[in-house]
Amino acid sequence: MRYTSIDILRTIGIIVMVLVHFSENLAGATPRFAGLGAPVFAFISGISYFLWAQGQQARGKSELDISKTSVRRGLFVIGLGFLFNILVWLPEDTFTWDVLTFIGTALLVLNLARNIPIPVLVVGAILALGISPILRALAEYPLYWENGYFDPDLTLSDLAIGFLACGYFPFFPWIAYSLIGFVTASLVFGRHEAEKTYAGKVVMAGGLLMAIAATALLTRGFMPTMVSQKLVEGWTMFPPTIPYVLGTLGMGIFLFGITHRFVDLNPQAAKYRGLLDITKTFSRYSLTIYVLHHVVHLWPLWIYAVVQGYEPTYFWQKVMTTTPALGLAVLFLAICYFVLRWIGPDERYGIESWMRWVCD
Amino acid sequence: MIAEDEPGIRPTKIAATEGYASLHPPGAELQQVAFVTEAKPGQQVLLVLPQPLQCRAVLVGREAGEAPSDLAASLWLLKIPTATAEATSAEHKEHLAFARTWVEAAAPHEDAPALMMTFQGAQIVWAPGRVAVLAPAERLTALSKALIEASYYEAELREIESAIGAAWPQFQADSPLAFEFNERSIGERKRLRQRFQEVLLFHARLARLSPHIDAPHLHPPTLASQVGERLRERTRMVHRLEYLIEQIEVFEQVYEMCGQRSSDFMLARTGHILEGIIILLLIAQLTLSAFEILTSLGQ
Repeated sequence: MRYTSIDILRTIGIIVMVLVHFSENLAGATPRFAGLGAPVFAFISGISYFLWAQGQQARGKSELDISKTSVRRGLFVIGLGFLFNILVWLPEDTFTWDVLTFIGTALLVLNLARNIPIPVLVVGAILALGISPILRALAEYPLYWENGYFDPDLTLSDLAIGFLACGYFPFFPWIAYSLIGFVTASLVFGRHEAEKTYAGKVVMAGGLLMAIAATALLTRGFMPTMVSQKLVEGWTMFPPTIPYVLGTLGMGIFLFGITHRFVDLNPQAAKYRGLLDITKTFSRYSLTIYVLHHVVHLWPLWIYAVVQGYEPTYFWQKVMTTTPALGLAVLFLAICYFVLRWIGPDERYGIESWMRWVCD
Repeated sequence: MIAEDEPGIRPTKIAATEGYASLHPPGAELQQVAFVTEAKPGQQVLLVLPQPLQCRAVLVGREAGEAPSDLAASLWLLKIPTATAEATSAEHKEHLAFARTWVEAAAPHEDAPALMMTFQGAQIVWAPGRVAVLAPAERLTALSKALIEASYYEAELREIESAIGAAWPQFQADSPLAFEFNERSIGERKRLRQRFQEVLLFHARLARLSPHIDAPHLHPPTLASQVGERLRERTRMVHRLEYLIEQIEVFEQVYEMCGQRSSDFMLARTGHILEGIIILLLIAQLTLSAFEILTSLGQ
């Protein structure tokens, strides 16, 4: 079953990411809403996986087949992540641990999570979040981010450190998003009788997490130095601090609860079919759009620099100002929408269809 | 339906829902009988059913204020007194035809027509929810009681049959849970518990009905006892009871197994949750230790 709430959230995530990436990579400016797209994406990965697995079971697929397909899909996305890093960010950034490698890993973990009781998954998410500052402290995180981007040595230990704690999207604490997404979906979609009740509880849980994050940030000044600097750390995406993870996770849960309650469970929502069609289009091709928008705005930069006789990354973050960069992002989204509408909803093209062809 | 100008009886209309139609010839009486646990003050109790059933047949009167729709189970009883010598008269035949038409209007479908029985000058036409009895006035009360009692048993059986019949698809959907219960089935526990309780209640109802349905014939027989026994036979109550018990046993067995599986699963789950948390803590500790080694390698 397709839920409009998930389409809406995924569309929000992809639009935010496109705007932020165009702005950052072309103009070197970070918009205020940066850092809100990827958490939504990671959270939705848990929800989508639950619904996908439920759909497979409904079609009569065995547990073994679902596991095999899950592993294949996970490995496909990890492979795609590496390919994306090599082709888009150039080979020296192969092991930066971008969002695709994380989502692929999350699919492998979620495959294990399917048969684990919900309380254990919640504890797992809390532990993943709790140990991440300790891991960063052990690894001396700032050493890997001296120039504002993740720059590891090509050693096995640095690769592992990057993957676990210091990369762009490290396993700790990002796996918490996927696990909580999976738990949320289990609670909301796993019991049809009380969907409305659970939507309300989900909204409250999201609000509570955001409130905890806000309280932690506001009271940070009154905390012992060790706690305020090593545990709470402030609001940053790189590194993903505890308030950031709690706040963005709360936001994801809150938005999901609201949209599920007022769109999925609301028959009146069908009146806004035009808007919902836009979200459906972006949602169906979100993975393709994610890869494509990087190709579209980064490859011209690299090629132009090489043609001009510079290093490929010479014009990175300084080729234009913020306004035209954001304008290009909007133009890209508009073209994307019309092209994808023209292609149609069958998902015959794009990375999503390749994944299904290879893995299912 | 019933012609309004039938000769002899000339009722303006006898529709059960109207309840209190004026009837001719004089003495004919249409009663609505309700089966209740406790009679309200002022209600006339027609029959107290045997103790385990905890049920009374009461007369629903206009003065009692009950609307027919308020009554979960009810029976329409048309009593027509006849003279002993009347059985062959034309007027009697008309009364019988009228009674038959009236009762058949309530028959559930064409292939289950109203039952007709004749005993020692008494004639009974019966269908679920309606019964007409034509008998000498002095025998009407005893016959009515026997018919009310037998009709109650039949209504109970019919209700359980209907509920069990409707429950088969859900039963089939639930039966895999009798073999395997998992995390995704937890949400079903409340419903399974409810189903099991329902099945137990059906079984209990049948157990209470059973001695009265499958009762040996009364000796020495009376007209009323024979009518009751004949109605049980004609409506195949003993066989239906037997089949129902068999079906209920299947339901009971499966839902009992579901209950056992879910209980075992929940007990094991509590242990698994604790084990899972301990394993996670160990993994976290191992991760920290391994990470410490990794960072020292890097340095």
